[in-house]
Amino acid sequence: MHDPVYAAVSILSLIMLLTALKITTERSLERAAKIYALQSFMLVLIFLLMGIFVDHLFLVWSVSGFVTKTVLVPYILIWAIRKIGVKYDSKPLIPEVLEWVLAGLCIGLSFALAAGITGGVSLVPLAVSLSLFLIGLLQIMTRRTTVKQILGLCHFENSSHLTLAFMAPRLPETVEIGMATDVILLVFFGSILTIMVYKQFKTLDTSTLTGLKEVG
Amino acid sequence: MVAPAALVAAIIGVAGAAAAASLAGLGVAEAATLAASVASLILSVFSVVYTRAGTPLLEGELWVDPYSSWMLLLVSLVYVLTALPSIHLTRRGGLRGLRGESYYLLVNSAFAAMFLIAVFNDLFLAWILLEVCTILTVYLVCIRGGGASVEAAWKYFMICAVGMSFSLYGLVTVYSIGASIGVAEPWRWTSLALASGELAARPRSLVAFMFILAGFSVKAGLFPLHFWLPDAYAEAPTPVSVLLAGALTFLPLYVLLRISYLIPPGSMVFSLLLAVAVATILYASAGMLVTRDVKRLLAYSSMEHMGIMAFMIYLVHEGVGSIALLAFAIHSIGHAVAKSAAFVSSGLVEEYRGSRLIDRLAPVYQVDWLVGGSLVAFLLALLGCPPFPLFISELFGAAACGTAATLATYIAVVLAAFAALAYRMVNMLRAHDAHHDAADAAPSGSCPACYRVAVYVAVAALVALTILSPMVGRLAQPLTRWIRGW
Repeated sequence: MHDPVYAAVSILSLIMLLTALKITTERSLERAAKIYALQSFMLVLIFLLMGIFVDHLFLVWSVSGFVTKTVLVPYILIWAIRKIGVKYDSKPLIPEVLEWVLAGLCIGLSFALAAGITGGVSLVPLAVSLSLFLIGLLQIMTRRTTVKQILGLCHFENSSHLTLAFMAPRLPETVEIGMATDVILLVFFGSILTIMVYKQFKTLDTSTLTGLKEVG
Repeated sequence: MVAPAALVAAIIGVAGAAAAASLAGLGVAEAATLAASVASLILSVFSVVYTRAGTPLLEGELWVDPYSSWMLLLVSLVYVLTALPSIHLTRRGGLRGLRGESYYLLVNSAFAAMFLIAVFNDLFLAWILLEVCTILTVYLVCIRGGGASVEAAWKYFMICAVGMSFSLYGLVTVYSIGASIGVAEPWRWTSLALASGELAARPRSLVAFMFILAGFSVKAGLFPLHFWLPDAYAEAPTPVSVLLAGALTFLPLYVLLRISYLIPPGSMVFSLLLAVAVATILYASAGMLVTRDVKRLLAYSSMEHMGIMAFMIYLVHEGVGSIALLAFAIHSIGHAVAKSAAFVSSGLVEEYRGSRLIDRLAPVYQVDWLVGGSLVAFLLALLGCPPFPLFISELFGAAACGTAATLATYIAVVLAAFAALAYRMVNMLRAHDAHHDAADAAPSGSCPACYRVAVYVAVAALVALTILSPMVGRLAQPLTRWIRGW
């Protein structure tokens, strides 16, 4: 990859990382979904750059990424949030300061792992991809509302997409189509479940879902 | 001679057509689903008979060999056993109109995807299809609504989605290693399996396989991220429990079996797989002893059998491989039929008694001679009693153990599971003090014809498998053998 392109891709990746941190700590659920749209748009720009300068196959990825992740996924999530009328995230399971510390550790660990894997080539995008994965996991564990947990899964999706671009760039189109379908189904059924959870429990807080304990 | 490719295309085609027809009204959806399931069963029997070599399909995206044909048969049997009780669910279970149609659309789509998984060759395609099946069935788990089913569906959705993300990372790493060592199409199982030696030489492959094991273990309900399974099975409508327990929970293990051919014998991954298998069987045995709910009992029994099949994957590479492969094939199909049928019977017993509590069902044979009696028979099959297929497969499993220590471990865990399920079955048979009133004990209606037919189909399938299973010697061939002829 040319140096200026790599530099641009690295900057866009780092913006993705910042958006991930913001999504995790953002109180407003609708704003979190909009920041996710921004994160996905950065991913689309990365694919666009790679499509122009590295391999034209990535142009297809950028179009499908724009339609699915930048437009449809946030649209479905915001539709669900507005339908149930819950505006804010619940209190996290751990203090927010500790959450920041853990997120910092995730990022440090990701850079160390990426350095080991790549030996320097594509370090930043790969490290960001691993960070997104770990921050997504952290978000699912510490944040209690269903919407935040679905956004955690969306971090996984963006992380996998970024990893695929750098570690498995010549995959057949079927995989790209499959991934795009997967994220839409994931968010659509996740949103339907969110509405059902709210209808049943009058809250989106998953820590209240403790009815199914072993009897006996 | 019928071409395996045509049979596979027809099997997937009929399930896809039934999915499309599901939108034409509930009556059409019911008829199309039933017809598609029966047609797929007939076609898959032909596929088992006529597939004698490995054949690539769709430019190598799919792969049919005798083992994958066997898996088509497994999925089609579960398809029939899901389609029959579905009629009762949509007619009397309140799934009318659009909800009924969307139920059939999702069920048929899930089966079309599962048929594709049975013949996968593209590892990423298998991953995508497993993920899509999970997402489609999440809605099926809670389709009737109610707090408990929504909670179960949420746990199922979230835990499996996280697990599958881990396996995707593992697959991407395997791909990148394959590409770096010059494998021509490093996303295909057939290409990677022929280069397994070079693949294993790269240190990164160990991490990749650990991630894959972790991800597929979650989806197969193995310890320690299994806790979605008893909730989802118990709270889902009966036909959805059949779909999950009979086929969908097992398929990640089948994918794992194929991926295990990329891992070198003696790898730490196999030791970890053994530990996970043993822990799963012991945990499931404890769960079976503790639970008072008949559907949870069957769910823990599923966990136990998934554990036994994970043990068999270990034996394929660390024991007598050919016998272990045969054991895995017989065990998987025997479990699929017996567990599906047990869920069908337990669903009806629940309807009769208005409760899932084992104490309130006892003595189970009083409910209805067919329903109660068949539940006992299917539990005996799941216990691994002779002459059922699981007896044969568990015996083959013991014969496949390579060392005395492995054999001792295998016998110990299988006996622990046997004792736990047998104890609960005796509970169901024993006449308890009459702490439920006479109205509870009396059947509240007749057994619906579709359930009756499902029980007959399951009994016929178990008898046929008992007679025919040991004769399918082709399944004892290493899976990589079929590639070399390509």
